[in-house]
Amino acid sequence: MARFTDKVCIVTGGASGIGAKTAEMFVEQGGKVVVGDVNDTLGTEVCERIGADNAAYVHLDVTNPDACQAAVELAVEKFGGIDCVLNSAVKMAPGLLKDLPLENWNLMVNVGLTGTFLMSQAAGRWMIDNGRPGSIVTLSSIGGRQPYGMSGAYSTVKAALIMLARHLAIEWAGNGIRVNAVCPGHTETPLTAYLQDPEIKKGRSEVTPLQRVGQPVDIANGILFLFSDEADYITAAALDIDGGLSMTVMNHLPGRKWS
Amino acid sequence: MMLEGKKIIVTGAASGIGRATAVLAAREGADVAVADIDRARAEETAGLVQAEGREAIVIEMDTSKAADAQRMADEATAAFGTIDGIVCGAIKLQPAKLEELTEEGWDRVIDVGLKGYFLCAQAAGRVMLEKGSGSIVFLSSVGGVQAYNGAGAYSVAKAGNVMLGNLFGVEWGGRGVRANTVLPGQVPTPMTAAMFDDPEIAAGRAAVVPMGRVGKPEEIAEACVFLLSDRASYVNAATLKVDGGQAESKMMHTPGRNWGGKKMEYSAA
Repeated sequence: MARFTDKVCIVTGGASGIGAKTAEMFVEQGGKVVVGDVNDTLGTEVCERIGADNAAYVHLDVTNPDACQAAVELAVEKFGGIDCVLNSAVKMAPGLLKDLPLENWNLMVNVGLTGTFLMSQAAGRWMIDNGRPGSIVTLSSIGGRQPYGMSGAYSTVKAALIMLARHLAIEWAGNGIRVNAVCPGHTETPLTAYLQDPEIKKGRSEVTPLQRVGQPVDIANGILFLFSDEADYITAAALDIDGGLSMTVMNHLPGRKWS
Repeated sequence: MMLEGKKIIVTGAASGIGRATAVLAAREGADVAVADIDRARAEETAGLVQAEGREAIVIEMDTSKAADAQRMADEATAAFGTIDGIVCGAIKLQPAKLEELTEEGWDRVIDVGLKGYFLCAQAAGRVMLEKGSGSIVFLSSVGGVQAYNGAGAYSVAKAGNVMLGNLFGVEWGGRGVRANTVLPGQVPTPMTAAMFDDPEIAAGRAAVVPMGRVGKPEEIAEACVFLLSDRASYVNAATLKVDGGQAESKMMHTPGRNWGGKKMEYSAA
């Protein structure tokens, strides 16, 4: 038996980046996925690449509870249930807080935080009502550990996502549903297009102890570990996958450099 | 297999989480150096590793002694040709209230549980730095992030493990050697067996965990093997809790609140 034989996963923000990579690897390791996104073109392509037997696309605006419920129903109808959820949908609207328009704040909070709540709630209700254990992983960020200037509401949302994961974990532990967060560092995805600038990529690699930026596969490996039975005593945890970035404050002191 | 062909040292491998980690590492393809102060039980662990079809050596040692740590690295290298990873788990317990804790009790826990981690990781790490790759895993505890009253220096040593893991990760990450720390919750092992002897206490210890049960050594071993493996190749200077949610449960002890889905009660009154 493969690692995820007979397991079904919903991936929000599954059309690209870490979400798409996780969806692909989940199926490679034996499972089925429902890929949800607001980008129908890319989302459909991801599912075509994976193959229709094992992947279904759904247009999913996570800020709409009915859409989250529809994703749950699709997973149940097409693949027979839900075992795992990856909450990775997010919108970026960077800006200085002094100038940040309310609509940008709301966009990030609604998609990143409220959307994660709504999708987790819809899937969790189904798991609880059907007595089926599960594993939910929420994509936070190293920005959720330390303030990330000029990112608008991003760090606030990502910090809240860690607490939301812990909160869901505590409430649902008795139902056999584990909930954890993953905190990537600098990771090369379509969302972080600025990493295509060689100077930025070089600089961000150099401030990371492992001396490179992350790739979607690095993060997907951690997510899949948390989905798997290997992690069956892990809940309410937040796993940093950042090459050590979050521990490097002191390395910026003059006169200190690692390696 | 996640550790195909890797050469792994596990300290404190004679029993409990260390033994489970040695066995799981072997099942995932690693040859294992079983390091412990208790040779007889280390030999048993070595037998379990061999039963998985992998090579094992036993290193009888006191991890708090630099000469022993160096010999550990030398013997592992002599037997296996190299070192790809080390899991540090050796610890001694000396529970006491702080007002009664003796200097010897403090030193014993700090020497084995903190200095020993440094010495063993340094000795094995020098070999890994030489070839530019490797993974260090420290076994800390929820007691390293929450004060464990009555446990003497235990929580201090365990908090030190977390920072030492971060420090190794930051200093050595750029040279290919990752370091991370696992924080187990309550896990019945030969070392902690006495804590679970009383059925009432055992039930109470399970009940304070959001998942409603204590952990198993094998569940902690899974996290160690993940961090040793290439699947964790971008995980560095990180901590991973394997505790059923215990470390995040303190607010659930507020009167009037209960966790656990089935038992969740809330009254606005």
